[in-house]
Amino acid sequence: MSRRHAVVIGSGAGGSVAAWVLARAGFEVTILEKGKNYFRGLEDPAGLGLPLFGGDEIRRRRGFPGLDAFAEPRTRRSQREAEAGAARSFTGDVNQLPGTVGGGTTHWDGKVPRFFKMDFAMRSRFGPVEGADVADWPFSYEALAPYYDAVEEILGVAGDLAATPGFVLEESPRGPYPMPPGPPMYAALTFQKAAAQLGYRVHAFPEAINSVPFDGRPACHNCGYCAGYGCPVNARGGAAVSFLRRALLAGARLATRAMVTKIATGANGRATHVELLATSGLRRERVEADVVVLAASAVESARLALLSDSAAHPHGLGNRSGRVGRTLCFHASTFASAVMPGRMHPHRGRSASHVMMEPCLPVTDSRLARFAGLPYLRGGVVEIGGSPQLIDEALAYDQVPFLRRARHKDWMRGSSLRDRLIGCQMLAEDLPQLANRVDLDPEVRDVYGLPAARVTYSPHRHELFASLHWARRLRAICRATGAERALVYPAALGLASDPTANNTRHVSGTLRMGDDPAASVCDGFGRMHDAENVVVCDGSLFPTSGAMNPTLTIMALALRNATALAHGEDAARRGPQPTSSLPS
Amino acid sequence: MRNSLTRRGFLARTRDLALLAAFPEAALAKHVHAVAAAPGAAGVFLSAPRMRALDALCAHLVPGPPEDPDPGAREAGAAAYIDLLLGAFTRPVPPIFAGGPFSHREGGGPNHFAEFLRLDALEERVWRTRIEGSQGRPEREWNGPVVGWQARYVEGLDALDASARRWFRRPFAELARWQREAVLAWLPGVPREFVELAFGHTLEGTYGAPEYGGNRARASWRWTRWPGDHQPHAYTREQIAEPDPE
Repeated sequence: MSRRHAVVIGSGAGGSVAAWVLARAGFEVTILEKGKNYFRGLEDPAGLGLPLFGGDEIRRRRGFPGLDAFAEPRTRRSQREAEAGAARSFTGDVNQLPGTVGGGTTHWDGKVPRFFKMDFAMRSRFGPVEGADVADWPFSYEALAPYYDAVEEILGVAGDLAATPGFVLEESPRGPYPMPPGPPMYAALTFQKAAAQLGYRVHAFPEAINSVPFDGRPACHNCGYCAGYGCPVNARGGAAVSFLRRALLAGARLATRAMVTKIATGANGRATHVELLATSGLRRERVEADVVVLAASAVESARLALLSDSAAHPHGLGNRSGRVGRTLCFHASTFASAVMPGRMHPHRGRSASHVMMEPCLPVTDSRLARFAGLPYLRGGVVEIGGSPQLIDEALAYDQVPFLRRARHKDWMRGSSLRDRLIGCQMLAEDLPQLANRVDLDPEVRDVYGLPAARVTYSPHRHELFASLHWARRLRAICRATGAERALVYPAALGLASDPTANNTRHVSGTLRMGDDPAASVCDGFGRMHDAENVVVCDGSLFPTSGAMNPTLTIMALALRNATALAHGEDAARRGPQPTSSLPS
Repeated sequence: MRNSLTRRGFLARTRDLALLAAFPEAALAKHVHAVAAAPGAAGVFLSAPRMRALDALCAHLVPGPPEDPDPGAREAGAAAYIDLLLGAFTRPVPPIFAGGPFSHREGGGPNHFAEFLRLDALEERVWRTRIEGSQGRPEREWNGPVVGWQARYVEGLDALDASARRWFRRPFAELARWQREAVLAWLPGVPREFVELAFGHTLEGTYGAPEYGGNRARASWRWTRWPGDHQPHAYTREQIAEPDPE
């Protein structure tokens, strides 16, 4: 009997995990990645080589690796602009993720908190929210917990169970972390002391960054080029070094510069093959598929589904419900900063070493919530410790109102927005709305000639009020650090000044999973209701955005969905297949 | 906001200059000299008069001595950085993406950054479009015609000089600071979009990695106390978690 052929679209967090499971289960696996490969030795049993990543801010500003909005623009408009008939109000980088081998995990800083129990049941625990489309997930935390465990075991997570607040463990029960936490950042420790005075429990952020040698990769040397940069020493776990490598060693094939343009379907609606532009977009090819794993990230997966219309799917692949592209979520970003009298060297370390999670708990007894007519206000994880790098700092002063460019060098010498900064960023739950969506721009194209993804997005008032609620409290902590000045930048300000959506790269929700085919695109194992051999394995599945960094949950979902695909639903309900016999 | 023109700041800068003198960076200097135009000469792409105007523009945006005690964009060679970007495709390997992973700036190995990465066909198409413009070629017009950075700099710098001559009867490079400010901010003639494009590139050429032709001798990293890439050397737990000794 011939082996089943799985085509995996995207080599990021979801695709790499799925490819590994399927390759181990005996599938013939082809991974199609539109970007280039900057890792070395991924397929070498002898071990990884040093990658081509490095601490180069100019290169990052030029779109390295694989994040070039000039070549692959997106467009954006608000809900109000859409109602007024505007095609778009911005063209450029709209919350893009790196298009490269390893996907978003080439620019992440490895923050891997688990979602809370409540994240799987926001609708049933806290009720509906007017103007939003809050839904429960089709399974519970308990169903995903063994997959979290398995992903963490391979990814390598550094954390401090003893210091983790009780409410976090109650909402996301877990065993010990595979590694102890890495060195704490001075800025984060200073914030931690101030937060403790006000009753908040700041603790080591669970991170997929080696604090000790792990999985054949070295301990992190704390170079400071973490968020926004590929790890130059492979100390940071991620899609490529942790899962794609295992997939390749298990026999999967990786094709780079392979831009999928369509998932083709037969008369019965099932996927038959994918069409792509290979070798830098110069040659059209097709790859036959028994199953297609769609893992291009929330915006790109929705775009590809919409590009994949056919007789069986006249409105786009899997779009009988009209839900493809809808309930698009970004995490809402709130910045708070303490400008200290002395130097904090926040550039040393892993971009953020600590987290505050109290804002992940919905506040139901708030006057602000009552004023806004909301049942609750929910923030999200607060990442603590990082700062911009030098060119970004230089640009930042230019963006502050009333700072004169003529004093640019005085600002740089004083370095209030870098070396004297305790920076924190809250990434908060973004409530799903049907009007927030991805569709195809009618005019703007990418370098491949395909219609650009158009993002229609406006925050729900919940995001703006939750941001205000926590901005006040974060500013109070910043003041308590002994700061010369405490600054806050709530979501409303960010949205007013930033043409993109919410200033984060956390994207979810466009191919929502659920039990009702009329209100969701995929079932609880990621299979499209209308095309069951298309299995989605990325953040587009999220029914709600959660209040934590999404990547660990994307990986756990991909592991669960791929396990169901390879071994059946019953096996997947029992948990992941044993991982002890893995090639290293 | 603290103004750093203090005794401690002055001493720190003196120490930095001493450090700079103590560690001549032969390999880096060789690389930078290979790409940087001599003062007043034509660049890789720009003519000599346009290079002078660009150099004056950069120096105005991020001033150095005598207007400011620390090296500025002129001393960093920001104009040479921009000129090299505009002329990137005159090089066998266009200096668009530096290599990796390590610069080895603190010694111990070769500078990987100096070995620029080869562009593939798609990247070359994208970067040629961005720099040279679409020039009527269908393969560069995925979103219609593009005016490239080369044309924008030529037009912008010519407008700079034309405006300076119109209002002050001298080229931009020979104007006093207030006159340059007037040309850039108050008087008509110079497109604001050009000044903003040049400002962003000036910051990159002043504060970015020196392998791209700017930030000569890493002087900008010294007065800003920015370590830059210093890999594979990194930090100890104490250096991360504790304040630096005064």
